[in-house]
Amino acid sequence: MSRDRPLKTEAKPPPVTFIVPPLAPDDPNAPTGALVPLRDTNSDDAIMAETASGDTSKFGVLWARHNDKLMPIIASNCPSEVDREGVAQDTWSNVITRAGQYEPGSNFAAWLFRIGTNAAHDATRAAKREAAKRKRDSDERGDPVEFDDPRGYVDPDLLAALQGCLGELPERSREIVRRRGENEDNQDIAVTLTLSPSRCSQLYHEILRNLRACVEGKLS
Amino acid sequence: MTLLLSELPGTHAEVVGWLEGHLVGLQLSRLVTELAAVHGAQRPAESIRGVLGAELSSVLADGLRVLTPQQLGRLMKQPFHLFELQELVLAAGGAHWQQRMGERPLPQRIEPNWQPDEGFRPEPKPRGRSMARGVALVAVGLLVGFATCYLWLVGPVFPPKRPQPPQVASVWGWNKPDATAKAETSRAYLTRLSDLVEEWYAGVPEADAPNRKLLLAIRLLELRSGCTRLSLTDHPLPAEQRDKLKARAAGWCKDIDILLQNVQEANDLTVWTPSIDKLVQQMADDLRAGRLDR
Repeated sequence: MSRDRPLKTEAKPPPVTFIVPPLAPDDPNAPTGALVPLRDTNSDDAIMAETASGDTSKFGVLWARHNDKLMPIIASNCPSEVDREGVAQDTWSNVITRAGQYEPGSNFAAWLFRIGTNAAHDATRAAKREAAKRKRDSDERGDPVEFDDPRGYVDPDLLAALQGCLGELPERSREIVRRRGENEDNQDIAVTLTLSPSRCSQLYHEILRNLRACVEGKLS
Repeated sequence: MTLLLSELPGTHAEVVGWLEGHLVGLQLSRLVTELAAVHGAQRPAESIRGVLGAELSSVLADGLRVLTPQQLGRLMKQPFHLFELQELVLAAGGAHWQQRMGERPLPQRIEPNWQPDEGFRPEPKPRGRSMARGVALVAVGLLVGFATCYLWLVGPVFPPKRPQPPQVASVWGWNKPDATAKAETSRAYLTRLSDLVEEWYAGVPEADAPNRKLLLAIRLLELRSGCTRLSLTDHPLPAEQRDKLKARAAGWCKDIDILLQNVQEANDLTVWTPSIDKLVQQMADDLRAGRLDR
């Protein structure tokens, strides 16, 4: 899937929106609250078209509809020390400034996620630059700033620590962790390792406790 | 620190729910890191569309339960695919994924540190409206967003870091943390929801209130967020009644959207306030009477 193009989804039937007809305050016979089908002016496309033309009066609707979905995407694309709420705010401001680039008929959420991912990567690069600068200041040795992950952030320090600790485990323990990590259940693992399923479960948790202690030691 | 893998359940059915929670949650990056370490996984060249093939549309519609244990195991063995799957389920996932999102805990806090006068504006377009109008509308839109965001997610727990507009109120109605707590009977549960929605009337801006339109829009957005919660929560009710309540709430949410839109566009709010009050009263009456059929 190309990163530069919004995701396309299956064709969906057009949503139907109902507009409550205005009430005439001086008309006692006016309908009160009846709903009649009219037009879809609250769709993502409609709000984006209005935003592109300078009218952001309904932008809050768009935010309320999609911000909950945006946050996991941002969290997946930057380290925890980055201010994720700040990234979300940058994302939404970019949505406003780039509203004219949005293609009606495409998936707005996917387009939003691309902007959010890029904002998360920018924030990660900035954080890494800052960390590198601090390191240069402290030991006069600078590391190159590299961040070229196309999608998703993997913490290199945690990854290296985990790999190191897993390498220190006995082969049998590594096998249990690996097989559980492939969605094999305790019953199947127990059969091949000639254990009881409950012992297998117990061992797994013991191994994870030791692994955690080892990782904490390496990261500290 | 805690390793997420230490919470990995021991059966396929449980792993499905656990992994789905991470796909709509905020710790997928951490989980992928842990799984990548266990399996020595590298970033794959192919897309998850190629891995799941025709199953992808089923996953988007019905969740990971459509996958066999082996298929799920392959996903966990190449965890980088989970990032792409997360984007797909959040952008195009069906009701199943919407429900999963409704079950996840809200973020602890969000800092309302945008200011509406910071100059966010669309890039100029040939047929654009006047910039002054654009900036004013951005200000209103963002102010509504910030205030709602603050009320919804922060509530009374975290003190604001910056001075807040005077209209900021406490969490009310269906947004209250215990709104959907288990009750002794279904009737008591629905009655509580009915009482809570009637709190609407306590915060409606007076007719002569300054910025009345903005205050009313914020109040409606708060009602809408509570309605979203109502429509996505797995209520502690019998299955049939629960499903009816969720469907009914989803219908109310649409009505609120429409009213919000019209309030935002209205020149005369007196045209709309009776409709809003009528809808709120209808919701309260139907909940109290247990009328959940649409």
